[in-house]
Amino acid sequence: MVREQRGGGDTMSRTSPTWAEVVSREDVEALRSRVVRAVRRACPAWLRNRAEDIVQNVLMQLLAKRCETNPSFSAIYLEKAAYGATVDEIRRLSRTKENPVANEELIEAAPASSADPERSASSLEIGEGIHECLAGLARPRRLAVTLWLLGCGVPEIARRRAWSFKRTHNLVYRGLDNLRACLLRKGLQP
Amino acid sequence: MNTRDVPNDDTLRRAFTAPFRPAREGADCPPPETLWSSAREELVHRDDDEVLTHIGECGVCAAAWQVARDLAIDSAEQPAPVHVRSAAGWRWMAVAAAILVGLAVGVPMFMEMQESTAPVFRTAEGDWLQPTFDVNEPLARDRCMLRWASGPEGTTYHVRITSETLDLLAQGKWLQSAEFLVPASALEDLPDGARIFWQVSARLPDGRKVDSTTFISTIE
Repeated sequence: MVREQRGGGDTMSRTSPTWAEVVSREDVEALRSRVVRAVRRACPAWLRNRAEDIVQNVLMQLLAKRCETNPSFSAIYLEKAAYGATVDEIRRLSRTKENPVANEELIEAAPASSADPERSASSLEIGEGIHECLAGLARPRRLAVTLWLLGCGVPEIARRRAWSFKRTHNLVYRGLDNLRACLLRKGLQP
Repeated sequence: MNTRDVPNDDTLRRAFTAPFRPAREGADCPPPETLWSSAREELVHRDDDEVLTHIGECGVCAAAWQVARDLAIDSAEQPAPVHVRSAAGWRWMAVAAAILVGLAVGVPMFMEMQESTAPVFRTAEGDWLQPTFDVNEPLARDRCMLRWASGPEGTTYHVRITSETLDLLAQGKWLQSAEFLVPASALEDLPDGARIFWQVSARLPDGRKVDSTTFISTIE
């Protein structure tokens, strides 16, 4: 029986069924396995050392949800939960960057890193430079270049924005030219 | 003209999505579900523009967006799932139905199932919700006091404690102080050295809800 305490006062017994009363140990283990699979898919390689924390956070959320409504969890539901917890972890990690230890850990883990610390530092500078230079681009070019930097190809950008292929190509190509010129003016050469 | 004319510069892309370039001070990062929808092309252009403009300023959200896009691509490459509820799922539903006997089962249950497909993203970050004691030190089961950092005056807290197998052991609701004494009776069945998982949700005076990460303590 779960003990519930409200407002720092009374301790009382819950009358609604608990997780343990509703589902069997096998069910919990099955759910945990599904969550682990979902987190494996959602968690980028550079964040793998945090995967166990992410799994635990997802399970706690699901537990809270189940105790409220006894829902079943579809694959897409678990995938979204895993993604949300992964984003939380990325944000949490980025906010700890003032901590030198955490910062070192993040820089080592992040996708921009390399074995060469100078290259890592350079990548940080380039990231800052890109951010500043993007702000100076006209809106359509900025959107096109942003999507390209996120990994989208020209056909995908054209489809997303409902632009013609030719227009999209021009926006990306000229936008990248502008971006490189801006970075060079800042003394950055990717 | 083809896409090979566009410089394919991995250095630029990696630098852009490095997650240690946070948004400018005061900029609100979109919630994960918005990034998810943007990456899957589910937003109208106006909303998508806002997200992409923010991403231009925020490497953290750029990294998060890219994770969502990778997931979307991965899903698209997999065979379409067959929507058959698992045996375990049916068992849960059967138990839930039994619990609901006597109530209006049909419509409420359907609505409940609909709700269960909504995302469960956390509403906000609660990094400051940290334990104020050394969680590596075992806690006595008869004096299992959990304490955490306080929020602004007027904040109330919910805390949830589970076993390693996610059995809910105890919970406190609407707590006005940042501590909770886990009733010894809730821990009496745990063996020495058992771990408990606990998580705090804070309701701030302005109505926002923030969640901590999950903490692990050992019981002796």
